[in-house]
Amino acid sequence: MQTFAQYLLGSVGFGGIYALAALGLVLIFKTSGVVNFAFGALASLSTMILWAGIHRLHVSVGIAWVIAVVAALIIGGLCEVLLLERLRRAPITIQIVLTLGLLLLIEGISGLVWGYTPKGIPLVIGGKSIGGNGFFIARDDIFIVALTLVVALVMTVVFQRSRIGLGMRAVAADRETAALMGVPVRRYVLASWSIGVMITSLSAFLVAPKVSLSPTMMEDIAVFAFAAAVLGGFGSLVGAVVGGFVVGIAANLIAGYLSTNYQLTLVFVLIVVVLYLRPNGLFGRAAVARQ
Amino acid sequence: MNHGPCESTALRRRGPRAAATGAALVALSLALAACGSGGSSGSGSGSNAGATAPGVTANSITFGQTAPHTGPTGEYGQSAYGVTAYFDMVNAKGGVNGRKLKLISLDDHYDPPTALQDTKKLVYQDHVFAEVAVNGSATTNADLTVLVPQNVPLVGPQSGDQFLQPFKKSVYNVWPSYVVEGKTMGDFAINNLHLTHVIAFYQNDPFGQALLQGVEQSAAASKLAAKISYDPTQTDFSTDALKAKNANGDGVLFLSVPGSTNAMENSMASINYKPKLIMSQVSAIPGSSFSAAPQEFPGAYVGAFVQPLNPPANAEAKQFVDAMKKYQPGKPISVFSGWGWIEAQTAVAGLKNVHGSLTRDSYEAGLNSIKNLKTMGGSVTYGPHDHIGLTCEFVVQARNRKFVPVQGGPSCQ
Amino acid sequence: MLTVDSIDCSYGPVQALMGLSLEATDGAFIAILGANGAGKSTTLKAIAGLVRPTRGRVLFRGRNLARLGPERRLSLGIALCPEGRRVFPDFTVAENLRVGGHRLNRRVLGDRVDQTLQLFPALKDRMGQSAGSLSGGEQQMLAIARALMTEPSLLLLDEPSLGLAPMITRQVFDAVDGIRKQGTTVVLVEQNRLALRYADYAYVLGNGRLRLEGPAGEVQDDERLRSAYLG
Repeated sequence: MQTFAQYLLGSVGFGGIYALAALGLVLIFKTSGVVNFAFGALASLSTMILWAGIHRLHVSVGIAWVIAVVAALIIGGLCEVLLLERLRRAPITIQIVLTLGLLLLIEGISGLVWGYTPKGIPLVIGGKSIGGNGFFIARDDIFIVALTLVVALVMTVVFQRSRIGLGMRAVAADRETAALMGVPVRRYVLASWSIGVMITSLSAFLVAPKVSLSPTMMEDIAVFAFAAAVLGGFGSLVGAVVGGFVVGIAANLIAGYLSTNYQLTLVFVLIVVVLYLRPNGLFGRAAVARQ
Repeated sequence: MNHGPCESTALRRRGPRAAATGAALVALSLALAACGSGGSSGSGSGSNAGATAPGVTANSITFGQTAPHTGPTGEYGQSAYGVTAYFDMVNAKGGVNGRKLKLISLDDHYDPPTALQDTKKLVYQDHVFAEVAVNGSATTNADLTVLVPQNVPLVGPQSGDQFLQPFKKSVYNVWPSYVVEGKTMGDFAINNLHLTHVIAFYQNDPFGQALLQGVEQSAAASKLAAKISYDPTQTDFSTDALKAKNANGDGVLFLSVPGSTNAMENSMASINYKPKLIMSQVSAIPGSSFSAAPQEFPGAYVGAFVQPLNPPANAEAKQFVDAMKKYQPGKPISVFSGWGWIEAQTAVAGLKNVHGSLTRDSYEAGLNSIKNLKTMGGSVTYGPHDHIGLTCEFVVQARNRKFVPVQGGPSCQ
Repeated sequence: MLTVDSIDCSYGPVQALMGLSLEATDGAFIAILGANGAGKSTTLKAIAGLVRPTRGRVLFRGRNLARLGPERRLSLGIALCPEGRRVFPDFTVAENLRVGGHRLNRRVLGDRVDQTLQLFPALKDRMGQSAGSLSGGEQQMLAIARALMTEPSLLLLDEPSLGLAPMITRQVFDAVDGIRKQGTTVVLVEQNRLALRYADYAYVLGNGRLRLEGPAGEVQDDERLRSAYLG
């Protein structure tokens, strides 16, 4: 029982990271209808800017975060403006090829600029872990969970309660009708790319101290985050958060009681089972249109 | 404004254009990946007029190398700088028997099919005499499918893997095997640190398993509290850290690659678990050249065969540092360039032993007669049926961002 | 107020409109009738800016709209209520209306909702309900109300009677008549001839061409109306 509790405590940090990464992915999908396979690479790129802020501009970690968040917003916006508006109506295969191409391109460029050697990024809080008696949780893991919940809460409130959120949901539900009603579709899709890439970047900022920063750092994280998004119904914000923690906890329990070698496989078995029982994910809504 | 046909402005199809953009992006990224390849020094072999063997002319000898110069393992390719520095030093003194040494180094992205392609180009097109400092286990394995049948000598495959140990007539190992390294780490943990509960944290592939095999042959074999394997793609090490802690491990042997080592160490710190850290040299490299220890692991013990470089721990290391500054100014003075240096030194020693005409057979005979060649990683001795190379590893400690020798630890002096 | 001056429109090789002209004066209730594929919806889309004519002009209050996109036309006061209602089924009725009022500022939004609901009292009790749970007639009312939230001076309605029972259709047309009585110009596209009882003036299309026009009462009795429907 104690071991079980330890495994749970140990998994919340990565659960939060998967949840945040999935939130960004889902936000972009919701409003623009594009599955952004480059989301991990874009987030790594922002983290490179975080690293450059700390180690090249020599600013404090807090200021480097601010710079990197702003950079992430710009990177997301640029993707939308330069590339993705063009493929809105393109067949799905073209979208996949384009975002995968973007993934390779960004990893290649950041590799050329910053190199592939893993880089250290300081923990946000650091210091001794909290707890005793064999139960410990790192301060940074608490920060990760708190930040995840705050971001999810703010996004939910904005989406459900605000004028802009209503407009974004209208764009997600029926882009053409939203445009007919005077909703500035382009601006909202741009905003969702900006904010979506920024939120996934937050997860990359948080994971970088744990796994070392490299241009390909997010590849394996992205797989779990993608799983989290699918588990949550690929479209539900709450689903992405719950999916992230479920995947994080499941992966740790599998690693703890079986072996890390089965982790990825069994997490995907779990997802297949969930999708078999609930084809629209844990929080997805059945896509039935009433005539 | 577009006054084309009365098409729907909202529904204008953009398929073909997007397809073109996508294709262009993919092409661009592939081009980017490829643009790092090409020789890092030296030029083509030129004419073979008057040559006694491929790659040998009256005034030059051309060596080939495949190594990653780009990609996640691109730093390994720094060994080319070490090889070139040694060649330049020899050339400055007139070369070997009047022949200047050249290196053609091709980028293999750490990818076996690319490495094989590069090797074919080096052997069939550039007609290199021999290869030196070929990087990586899987890549070297691929290269050997061409090098061995063509009887192209290979000095210094950069791997400690098992497949190199069965004797091959034309392959000369320099690196100590991973088994030697694992054994050194295990013995050190017991004999020097007096640990009682040792954790072996290993990558579940031939590299990690070979290190583990060495640990199991060491004094630590009877004190192993847990063997924890991880997957090369794994990022979350929370449970592994807990398992190590729950096994009351007082020391962890890191038989792992840099990213995983760092992630595991972080997970251990987050549960206030602070055992002694003993790392293989491959584990401990993140974010730094070997001249500066990574700040992430203060106090960690690291297996090594390249002597500490900052300050140089012996005369051979000093010669390397000075030559790098002179012949490859600005290039990293790192464990990677150090590898290349030692391997080039071995390759040249073999050349110097050749009296009479230089052929691949006479070169192999020259290499076979190397006895007690003093390198900064210990001494190299070959025989007609002994191509093992370095057999000794020692341990250094990370202190104040430097690697320093450990008093009373294993020594290769 | 609105002048459509001999426009041509084609989708690829298929010509949807040929030399169509029509006119709507301020406060008029215009009906455009015709069979499936006659070019009715295309006419509305050309006015709203969703498709561009290859020839001819669309003038609104004397201004050539050729260079203006749908958003600009909406802000000039041209609103299109699309075919098939297209309400947001997962949104509440209130949210659907607020989407229509997206460009309004917060202070006037509430007033506009109240004004709109006066024309559609049935929606008042359903404000918290999801739009998908409404009946077909109610959804159509909601779609029109939502378009009205954009404060149009010209309201374009694309087949609001589609799939509705005759009695419900009558209620919908009554509501549209109420909108016109408040001063909004209405252009109504229909297959249902009941529209002629409400409109002042009617145009009948067949195969992309104007077949017949005149005061609604006269068109209703015209022999050619029947032949237009039969092709």
